[in-house]
Amino acid sequence: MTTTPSLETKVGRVTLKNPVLVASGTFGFACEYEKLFPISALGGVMVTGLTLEPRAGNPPPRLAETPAGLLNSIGLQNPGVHRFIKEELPRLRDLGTEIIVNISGFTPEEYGRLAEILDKEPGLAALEVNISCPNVKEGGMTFGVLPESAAAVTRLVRQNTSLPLWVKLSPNVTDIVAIAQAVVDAGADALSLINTLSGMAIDPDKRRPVLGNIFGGLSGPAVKPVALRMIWQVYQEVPVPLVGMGGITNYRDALEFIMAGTTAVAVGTGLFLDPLSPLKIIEGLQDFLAKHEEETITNLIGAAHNSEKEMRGEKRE
Amino acid sequence: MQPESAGVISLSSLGQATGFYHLVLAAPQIAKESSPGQFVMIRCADEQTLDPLLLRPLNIFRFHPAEGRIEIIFRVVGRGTAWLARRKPGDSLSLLGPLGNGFSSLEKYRRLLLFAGGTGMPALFSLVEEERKVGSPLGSPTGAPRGGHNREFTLFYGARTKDELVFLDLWQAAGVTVYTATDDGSAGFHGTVTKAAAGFLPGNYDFYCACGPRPMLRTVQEMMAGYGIPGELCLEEAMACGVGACLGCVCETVHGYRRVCTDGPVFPAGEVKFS
Repeated sequence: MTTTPSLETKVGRVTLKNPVLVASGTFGFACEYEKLFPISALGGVMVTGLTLEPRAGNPPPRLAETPAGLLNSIGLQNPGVHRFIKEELPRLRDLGTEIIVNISGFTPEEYGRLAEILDKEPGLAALEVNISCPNVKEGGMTFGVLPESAAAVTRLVRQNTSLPLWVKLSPNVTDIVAIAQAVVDAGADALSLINTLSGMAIDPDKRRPVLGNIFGGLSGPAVKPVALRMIWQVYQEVPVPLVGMGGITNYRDALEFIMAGTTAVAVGTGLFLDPLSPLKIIEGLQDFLAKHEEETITNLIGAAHNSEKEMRGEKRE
Repeated sequence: MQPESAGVISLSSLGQATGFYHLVLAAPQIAKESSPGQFVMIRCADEQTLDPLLLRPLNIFRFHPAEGRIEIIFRVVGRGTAWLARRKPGDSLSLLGPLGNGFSSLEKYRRLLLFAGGTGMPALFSLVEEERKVGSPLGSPTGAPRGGHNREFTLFYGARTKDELVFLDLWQAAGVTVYTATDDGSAGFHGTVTKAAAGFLPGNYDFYCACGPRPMLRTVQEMMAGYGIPGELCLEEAMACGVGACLGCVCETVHGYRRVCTDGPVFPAGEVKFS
């Protein structure tokens, strides 16, 4: 092959120079990692989850390491959307990569208000709507666990912005496809999956939960098979671009997600093993395409589903 | 701050019962950039494996920019540090560092009190050693207290038992007056460092630095506040990113939650709230 294979990919209206993003909550506002590598090398940055008002977050301890995984209970600590716009966004705009802003609310109206505020800001590629937040109106159940409440939040955000909407789905549900369908019907342009799995850890010596918040969200390689299964199911039923995350640490993990059906991937906890892993993944994908004489990464999106069809076809004959 | 592949120069046990190890690494870039109170994150798992997942934050005990070396003292407390204790000279480790906000300048102070507990000792030694390098016109590598600012240090060093009081000779060579305390009374004062120090206070100390387990820092903070002596506390905390992004290692302060990895690990003593 004479030309370099292309890593460019499109999540709906959003063109990414490559499919490797960094996941919300693990990359701060990018300034921390700016000292380590050029952020412009990334396909995009999913900024730490914002709320309308500043939030102090949960009491420590907030971390518990588990086998090949990490539980966290940060509790959406963030400076609030207004300070974000004033203090962080100007710098983020100049990073030379796509900026996706993650938003969370405790009522559907808060999500709507956040969308309205951010809609006026230039330089944003998309909003990522985190529907894993507890719904204070309905007794703490998260919006993302019921199709109706997930759709209600999406609809309000949709009404308040023309920015592309990526809705980030919670894996803590019985039927991921039903939720995915509901938010797409309500106006989502793309879906991010998965958020963390609800879990906990106990310290036997202290006879108490490790996390100050008792429960936390599990991430890291431990959750990768769950993420892949959910992406696989949603890809087969819901016709929108998917952005995959959940335990990606190397380019082969990224390929698994892409072949399960995602248009882009995000590295989160993987950054903590190796802060340079997103760059190594980009390089690995490039080499894989060259080796297999694929002209573009987009040829591989959902590629594993073909094999399933073939397997089924063979069985029938 | 950057990732650096560091070669193991030596790794020695500081007594089987203690679980303490002394690790010397070739890490030229980190050695060059380090300042007292900073730390490194070390990946404590075989390449290509994903467990244990997180890098371990460890205090820098000594850094030698000219030789391109850093030294670390760690205690085996779990799977990561147990893996680290099995390394051999010549092995290569993945490091990230130097990280964190170390001790502030001691310029204004002449008589300093240090409180060290367990694995908190190394951070304080780096402070004294750097001070002696700066303080001596000859830049004495042994840190003999001559010339320069002629700053006086008094150390109260606590551990569970005698064997866990390590590198006392280095402290003495650095010209530090050392008092020890052990939980079991096997060396020095029988009890905590705060009780050991009580008889010497307020003295005419004008600043203090402390690093050790939380209960120790808390009592030191209370006692020193009572004497009106300002100081700094160096905290130890489990971390995920180590660079200030994930907000996993926060501690409570008078300004709200602050990141131990980047706002700390060294904080003005009056700011930290122990709940």
